[in-house]
Amino acid sequence: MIRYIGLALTFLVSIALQSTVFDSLQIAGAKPDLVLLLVVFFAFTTGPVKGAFFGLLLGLLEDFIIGYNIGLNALVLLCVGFIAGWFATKIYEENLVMALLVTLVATFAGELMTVFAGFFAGLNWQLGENLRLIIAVTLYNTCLVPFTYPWLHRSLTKGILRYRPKHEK
Amino acid sequence: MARRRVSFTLAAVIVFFIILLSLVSIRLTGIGNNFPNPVGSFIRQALAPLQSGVTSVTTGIRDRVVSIWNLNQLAAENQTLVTKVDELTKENNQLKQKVLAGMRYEAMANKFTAPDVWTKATLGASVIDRNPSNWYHTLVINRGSQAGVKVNDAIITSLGLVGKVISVTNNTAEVILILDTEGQVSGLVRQSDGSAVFGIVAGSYQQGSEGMQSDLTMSVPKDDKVNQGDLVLTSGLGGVYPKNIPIGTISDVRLETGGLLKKATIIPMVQFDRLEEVFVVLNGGK
Repeated sequence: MIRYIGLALTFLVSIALQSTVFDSLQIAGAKPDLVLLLVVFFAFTTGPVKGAFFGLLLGLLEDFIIGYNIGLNALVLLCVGFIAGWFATKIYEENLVMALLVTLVATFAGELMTVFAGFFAGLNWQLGENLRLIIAVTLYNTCLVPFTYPWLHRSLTKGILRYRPKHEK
Repeated sequence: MARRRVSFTLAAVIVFFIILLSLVSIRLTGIGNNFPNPVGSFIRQALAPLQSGVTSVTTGIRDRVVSIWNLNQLAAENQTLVTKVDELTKENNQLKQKVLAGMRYEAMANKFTAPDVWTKATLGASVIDRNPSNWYHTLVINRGSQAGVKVNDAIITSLGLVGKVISVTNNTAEVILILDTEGQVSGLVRQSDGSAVFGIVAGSYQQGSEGMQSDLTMSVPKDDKVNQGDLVLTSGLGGVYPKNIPIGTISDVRLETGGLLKKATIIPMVQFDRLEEVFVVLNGGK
């Protein structure tokens, strides 16, 4: 239970930071996607299926908070969770370099997918124009990994956010 | 315990339906579609105090850092000058607008007067929240239906156009900025003889004066005479925005590929990422 409350709080803080602190810390007109980062780190410890489910859930919540285009972030974060989780099953050593790499790939794929999904759903989004924004967000997200991954990963594997089997409760 | 394997066909069907469902849902709940959203509004209300706290701290820190950087005195002096420049720019814009409009109205024997947005009822509001996502340019203000704000009301500052209201609650309203691709405006530039050139002003992400940023562009026919430094105003067409609100000045004009249109880059009057207070134009500007 404590794991899920912790995850929910982390999610809410991420959303709040994105619209406040990082709104004034924009680099090249882009702010990081902290929720995506959280999904990547979570999927990293659980594998593709749970990662995808977690992504779907957080994406849906984020969509409801934003209030329109419901399903966009849900679809994207589902895929991001799956990709990051799938990578994690292929990697034997979990370290910072791997986290950087997976975040880079997953963020780029996720943001690219956002534009495609938006395009297919009939929004007025152009890929060419947004490609540089996607790159900016990807680099920003990757730069944040050294500051977030170590303690979030420790918490997810050993700390408050760790998975507790039933008999431990 | 052996895990039950999910067949490939079943997985494919599930994935297909998730994608289909998402696309339909994205389409049906687009911007301006007021579907009931109790989950979202509950979380937003719960987050509001946290966000306003963090925002005030961030703004405080930013102001502090800026003043240390510039030395206190310089910052104070700068502030008064900036206010002065803003005032003068506003005055200048109004005059330019009147002179240009005047050239046109003179021809009609002074039977018309230039419509002016400052003769309309406005309501002050503070910006209390911004959109967490990179893909939308919206913000939330602290006035809602109780104060008479309605969907599609124009939002302005003393300098120019900010955007329009897309949804309203009792005490808040969500504003879509003209930078957003869904927030396009019909714009107007006066040529040197006073006649108007119309075009759609749209937001785009491109190389701007301060590196990559969200900016405004306007496409106009190749033969129209628009120049660097020309003032772009709202045209009043489309019925959402009142006429003659300044949008920005043209900084660059380039021929588009295809050669039929020219694309003008516009420097907005309003500094969108520093917005703290705005005005709502009430009653649709009538």
